[in-house]
Amino acid sequence: MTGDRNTGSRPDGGGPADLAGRIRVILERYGGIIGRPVRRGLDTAQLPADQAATLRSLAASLTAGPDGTAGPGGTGGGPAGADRFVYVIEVEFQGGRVERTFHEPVPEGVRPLLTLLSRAPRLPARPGPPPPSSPAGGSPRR
Amino acid sequence: MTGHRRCAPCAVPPHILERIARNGNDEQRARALSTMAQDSSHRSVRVHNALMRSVQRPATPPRLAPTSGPRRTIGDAKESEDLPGTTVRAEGDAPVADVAVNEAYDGLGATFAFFLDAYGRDSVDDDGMGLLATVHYGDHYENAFWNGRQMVFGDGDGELFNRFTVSLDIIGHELAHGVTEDEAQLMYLNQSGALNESLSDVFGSLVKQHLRGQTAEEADWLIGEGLLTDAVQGVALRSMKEPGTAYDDPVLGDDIQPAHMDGYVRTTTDNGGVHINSGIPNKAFYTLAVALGGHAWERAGRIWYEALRAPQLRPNATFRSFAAATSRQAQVLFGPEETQAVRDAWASVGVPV
Ligand SMILES: [Zn+2]
Repeated sequence: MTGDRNTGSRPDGGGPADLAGRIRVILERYGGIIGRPVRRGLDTAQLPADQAATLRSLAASLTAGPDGTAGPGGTGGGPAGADRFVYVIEVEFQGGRVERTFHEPVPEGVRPLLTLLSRAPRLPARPGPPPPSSPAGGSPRR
Repeated sequence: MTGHRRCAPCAVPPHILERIARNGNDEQRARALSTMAQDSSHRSVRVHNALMRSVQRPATPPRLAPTSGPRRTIGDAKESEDLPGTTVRAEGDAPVADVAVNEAYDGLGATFAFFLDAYGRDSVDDDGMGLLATVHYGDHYENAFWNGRQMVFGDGDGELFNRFTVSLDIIGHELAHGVTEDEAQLMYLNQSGALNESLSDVFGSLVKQHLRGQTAEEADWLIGEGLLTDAVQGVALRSMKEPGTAYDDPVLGDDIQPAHMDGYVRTTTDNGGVHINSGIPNKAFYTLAVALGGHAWERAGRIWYEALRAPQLRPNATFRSFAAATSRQAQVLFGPEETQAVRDAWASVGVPV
């Protein structure tokens, strides 16, 4: 089931994100039968100009607005089937960040960015459990 | 009462779909309407089947053996994400040159045989449902999944992961998702989701043990053995025997499964950590199986299977309510010794019965 939870936050209360400066785009993949989260990311500061432009343009479509990538889905029911991936894409830019969550099958409009990020270098795995649901909700382990 | 637990499937709730159908753009509207159509027909068939079965079902199965064997179809997505892909091998066809196709075909056969031999179950729906698997899904796709109708297997990235048909327990795991969905529709979220995951690991492992004729002591209790390439420091995706120890790799990270409620991970990711917290009921099952000894599918597996089918098991079941269901089934199916072993196994992972 697709889903865009629109969990993004925008510092200016809803205006378009300013992606002209340096941006960093992080893909976190959760679930799948593997279960272990995977992080990958791209940074315009470390890319050739043409690739940085591509990243900027794909990120802009993601951050364009609440409805820009919305698929038919919701937060109420969970995905259909089992072992599907859940993707969280985070765009960090000058003065803010936007985060979007997608359940498979992801909407067509997001696929190009997802494909690009899926080939990006792996970032160090977060040690220990994934981020808790609330600041006090984490359980220390081992 | 059986109709009670047969609530809507755990997809997008109808009211959300209806809202999308009203307010979405053309594509969204079309997709929502199509989902609603599939959903309602699927649901009515399911409710009908459930009602039929509750009338026919004796207090303790076995059912009559079905008259025909599995009906397998293997599709090839040819690295696309189109399902089910081109049919490349159907029931009774000779092996082909493609090893993934044959692994899927044989794995479905072994899983079908397991459920039939061990529990008298005739396929995913206990009504002879055809088994459909698609291989070579996606571009270096690092996953296997159940989409509500069929199994799907990726080829892996080749660096960390081999093809996902390589492990029989993974094929059993995916098919077992179909069984769980048919019987209990455990919501794929938080504890009910972790139970859903654990049941797939349990039956996936039992499929392998059954094929190999292994006892609980002889079994490796690994999920995804052979899936990790030599480049990864690890033996499998999960260990039911020792959750949290299957791998520890600089690139992949470490296995973060807890083996006890003390380590229960609260998170919003992975649908509430369904692939993480499944370590807790996995360990409980392993502990019971070893305590009882012998072939794990005969007593421990039977208790789990009947608990999954019990009318009391709700879609939002917790570890505790499932543990209570297993304890009841142990009493009904076997006796005080097994019932105490079930309670001890759950207690050892911090779930009181
Ligand atoms: Zn699963």
